[in-house]
Amino acid sequence: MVDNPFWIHDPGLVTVCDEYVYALIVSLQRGAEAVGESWRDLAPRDLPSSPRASIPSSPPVNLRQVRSALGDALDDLSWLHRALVSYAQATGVQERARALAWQEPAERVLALWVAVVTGVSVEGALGANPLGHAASGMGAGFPQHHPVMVNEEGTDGGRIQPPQTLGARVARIPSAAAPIRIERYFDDQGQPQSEVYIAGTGDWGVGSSADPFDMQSNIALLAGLSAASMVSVQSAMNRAGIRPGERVTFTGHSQGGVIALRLAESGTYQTTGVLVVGAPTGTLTTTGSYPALALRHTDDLVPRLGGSDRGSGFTTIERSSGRPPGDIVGAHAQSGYAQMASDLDSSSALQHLPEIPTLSGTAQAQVFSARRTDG
Amino acid sequence: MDDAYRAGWHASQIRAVAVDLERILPTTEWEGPAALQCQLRVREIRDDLNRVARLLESSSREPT
Repeated sequence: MVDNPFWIHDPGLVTVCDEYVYALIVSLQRGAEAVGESWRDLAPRDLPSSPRASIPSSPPVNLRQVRSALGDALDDLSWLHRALVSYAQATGVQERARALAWQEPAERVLALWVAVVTGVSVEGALGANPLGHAASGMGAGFPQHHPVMVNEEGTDGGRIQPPQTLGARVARIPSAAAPIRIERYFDDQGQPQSEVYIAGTGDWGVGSSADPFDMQSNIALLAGLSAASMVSVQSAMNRAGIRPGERVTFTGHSQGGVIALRLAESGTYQTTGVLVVGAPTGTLTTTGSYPALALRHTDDLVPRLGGSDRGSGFTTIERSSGRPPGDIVGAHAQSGYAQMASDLDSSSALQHLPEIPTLSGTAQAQVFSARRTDG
Repeated sequence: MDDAYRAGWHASQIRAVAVDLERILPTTEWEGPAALQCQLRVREIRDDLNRVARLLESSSREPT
């Protein structure tokens, strides 16, 4: 763990540090508050300014020495806290600079990619507003309507408990064959709350595939347009009985993570949390007040396809996948992210991260496949 | 709150901070940012807090 610690980027990259520094900052802050309270309360009651100055024999004389020693410990606590915060802020400044340096080339690559796929001019992708050009290219060249068919492939086992950990949550993201999984729970008042899990890209082709979870959908999602994969998830949610305004927590891998964020931000549902792993959400932002966590392998190229982080509302946790150099597929694999999430569950930093709510009750998991019906 | 009770209460509060600092450190070697010597400093702070807590506990048992 120490050889490959988690790096935690808070929203906006204000502070960036490893999990131990992160936990230590919070612990020192909490400790300084508690010790400071004791130090203040142990102030001698016979000081000249004290209203009890005339009361004799209070406090015992050794309490002054104790308080002095406590004051020294408080100084040390506060100093280390300030030093670590300064360190994390300095790292955040470096990360923001790195993100800015990456942003423009990443956007141009994305725009060039879109230009090649849609057949619009490549020159525009090299201009001043590459993403705007990409979006216009998408609008001109991509379908606006997405006829899809969603099939319920049955239930996944018997009645199950809601996920209690990040590892369990990521492990429930389904395979590409049936990329949508929905669990619908009911609280004590009988109100529904759903968990929606979404798989990543199943077909790396563009537009020629019956699979809506393809590259065409990837590009459309990143450009802020409607996509066949997102329509499929909405259709499955409707089939599962989820209505607008209901509480939903979204979990997604890769393209599924982008769909999760797009639906969370759609305003259609009452989003209670978002967890994305290996997802290219860089140019998208969260505006809601729900907890949002993003897990990324530093050697996974896919999250970089979304461009740089732009001060999104995500708390981002990074570490190396541990795969051999050049193992691009392995670094993006969902199984690796399930392991990362499981390790994060036992990290001391976990208790300080935004907490995705844990539900109660039991549910029957429904899994759905999806395919295009227009070709 | 009398002085003995007060000292005992603060002793337990300070012990809790020391335990939290003990728990937060990774069990394996970890130094944190260079030059800050986090392991060393945190252990020193923890030991100081435990020492203060012991003094407070003694104080809480003294007759007033």
